[in-house]
Amino acid sequence: MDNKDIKISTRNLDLYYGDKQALFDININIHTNKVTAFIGPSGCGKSSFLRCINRMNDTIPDCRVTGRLLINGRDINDKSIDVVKLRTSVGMVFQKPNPFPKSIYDNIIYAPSIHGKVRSKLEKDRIVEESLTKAGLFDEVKDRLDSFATSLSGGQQQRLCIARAIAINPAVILMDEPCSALDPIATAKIERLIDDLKENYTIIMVTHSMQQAARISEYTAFFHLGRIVEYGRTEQIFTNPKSQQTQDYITGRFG
Amino acid sequence: MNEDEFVKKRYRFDRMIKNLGMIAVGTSCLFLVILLSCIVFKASSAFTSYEIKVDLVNTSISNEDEANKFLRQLIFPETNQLEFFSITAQEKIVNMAQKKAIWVLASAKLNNALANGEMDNFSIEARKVIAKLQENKLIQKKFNYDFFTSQESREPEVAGILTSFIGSMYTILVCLMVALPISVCAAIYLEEFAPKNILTTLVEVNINNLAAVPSIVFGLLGLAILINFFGFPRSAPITAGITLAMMIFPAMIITTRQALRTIPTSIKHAALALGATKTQIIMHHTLPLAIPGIMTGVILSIARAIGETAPLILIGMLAFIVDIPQSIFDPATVLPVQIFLWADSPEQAFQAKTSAAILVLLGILIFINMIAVYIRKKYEHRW
Repeated sequence: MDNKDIKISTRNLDLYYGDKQALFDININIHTNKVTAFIGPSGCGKSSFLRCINRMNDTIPDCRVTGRLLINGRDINDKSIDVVKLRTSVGMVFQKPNPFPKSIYDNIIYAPSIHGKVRSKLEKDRIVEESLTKAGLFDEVKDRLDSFATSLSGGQQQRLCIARAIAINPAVILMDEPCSALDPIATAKIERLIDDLKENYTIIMVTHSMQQAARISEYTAFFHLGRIVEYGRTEQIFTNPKSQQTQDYITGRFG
Repeated sequence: MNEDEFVKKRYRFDRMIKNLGMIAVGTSCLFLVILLSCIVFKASSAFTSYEIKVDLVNTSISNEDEANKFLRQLIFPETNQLEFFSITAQEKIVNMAQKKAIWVLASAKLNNALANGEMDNFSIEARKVIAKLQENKLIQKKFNYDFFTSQESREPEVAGILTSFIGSMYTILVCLMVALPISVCAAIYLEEFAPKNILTTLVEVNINNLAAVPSIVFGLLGLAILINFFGFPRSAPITAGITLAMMIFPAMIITTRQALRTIPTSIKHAALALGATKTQIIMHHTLPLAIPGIMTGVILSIARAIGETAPLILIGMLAFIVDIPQSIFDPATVLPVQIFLWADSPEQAFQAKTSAAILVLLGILIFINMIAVYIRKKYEHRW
C-alpha cells in the first residue's frame, strides 16, 4: 500500500485501564481522506481506541497505552509530541452535542483564538463563516451568531460541534457516535455533512448503526472484546465478511 | 378487593407522611414567629425615643455649665435635678443656642417610664410636671434615627450601632479578602490538579474536619498565633477578619469544590479535545460556569462570619469602644459582640437596644441571603 495513502497506523497497540486490558494487539491502517467506521458491541473497545488517537485517554488515571500509534508516520505517544498540538490536528466530536454555554460565534472562534491563530476581527469573521458553511449551518444561524449555542436544536448543536472542530483545520476528525442522540432527519443531515467533509478530512466514526456504517463509510473495522476481528472495505465487510463473528454481528444475531 | 385495600393503605401512608412534614414545617414557622415577634416587641422602644421641647427665647447660653444650670431650673426648680433630660441635651443646647426652641432627648429613665407607662420611679411632683408637659404636647415620641447614626455610649438613650456596624464591615472586608482567594485556589487545586494519593486524601479529610471545629477554637488560634506570635493588634478588624477567615475557609473550600464538580465533564472534554490546556479549561470554562455556585457558598459563609461572636471575644473584641474605627488596624467591635455587650448591661434601656441591634443584624443577614438567591437564580442552568 502507498504510504501517502495511510494517515494513521498502529503497531501492536495495547491499552490497559489499571489491571484490566481493554485493547489487544490493535494493528490497523486508516486511509487518508476516507471515512472509516468502527462497529462492534458495547464495551468492545472501539471508543477507547478512538480516544487513543487524540490521547484523550491521558485524562483517565491508570490508563496505559503500549505499542505504537503513528499519524503521518510519527508516534503520537512519543515524548517529543506535544499533546496540545496533536489535538489541533486531530479534532473530536462527541456522542452528546456539547457546545460551550457561550454564543455560536464564541464557540467556533474558541479553538483558533486559544491557539493564537487569529488576530483581527475580520479574520475571525471569516473563520466563523467558513467553518459554519462547511458544517452546513451558516444559513440557519447567520442572523443570530450572538445567541446562545445551547438555544439551538440537538442536530444544529451537533453540527456546531463539527464546525467548532474544523475551525482549526485538523487533518483527522474523530466522531464518537455523533448521531446517537439525534432524530433521523438531523442524522441524515450529519451523514450528508460527513460525506462532504471527507474530501478534506480523514474521518473515523464509531457507530452502533449498521446502516449508517454501510451508507457513509469506505472502510469498516469490526471490534469485539478489545480486538479487531475484521477490517476492510465496507462493501466487503457487509456483503462478504470473512469471519463468522462479523457475519453474526452485522446480521443482528448477537451484540 | 384485597388489592384495593392495599392501594388505599398506601395512599393513607402517603397522606400521613405529607401531614407529618406539614406539621414539622408549621412548628418551625411558629418558633420563628414567636422569636421574631418577641424581639420586635422588645426592640420597638429602641426605635422611638421621647423628646422634650425647650424654649430658648431670651436666653444666652454659651457653655455646657450654663446649659446645665438652665436645664436644672427649667422644669423642676425645686429639686434642682436633671432627671428629665439626657446628658446630651446640654451639648445640643450650646450648639443650637441661637434657635428659638429645640427638641432635646429625654433621659433614659423618662424614656423608659413613658414607653412602659410605669411612673413609679418619679416623685408625685415630677409626675404632675410630666403630665402637664404631655398635655401641652411638649413631650413627643419620635423615630430614633440616631440609633443608626450614633456611636456607642454609656448612656443608653444615645447609644447607637454605627461603631459596631462599621467594625463589622471592616472585619468582613478583611475576612473576604483573605478567605476568598485562598479557598478558591485551594478548591481548584484539589478538584482539578491534585493527584489521588494518601497525602491529598489526608488534606481533604482534615479540611472537612476543620469545617466542623467549634468557632471558639479559631478564636484561640487567632489569639495564640496572630496576636501573641505575630503581634497583630488586639480587637482590630484585621485580626478579627483573619480569624474569621480561618474559620470559614474550610466551608468555602467545600462549597467551591462542589460548585466546580457540577460543571459537566462534557464541557471540559470539548475544550480538551480542541487542544486547550488544563489552565485554559479552568479559566475559560469551569471557573466562569461555577461562579454562581461559588458566590452562593461565599455569601453564605460571610453570613456565618458576620454573626460570629465567640472567637472575636477571645481576640479582645469584647470591649467598650466609642470611636468609629478609621482603618482595619483601629480598635473596633462588631455587631454580634455589641449585642452581647448591651445584653449584659444593667440599665433597662439597653435591653431594648439589644433587641434592636439583633433586628439590624437579622436584616443584614436576610439582605445577604437575598443576594445569594438572586445570584443563583440569575446564572443557574446555562447549559
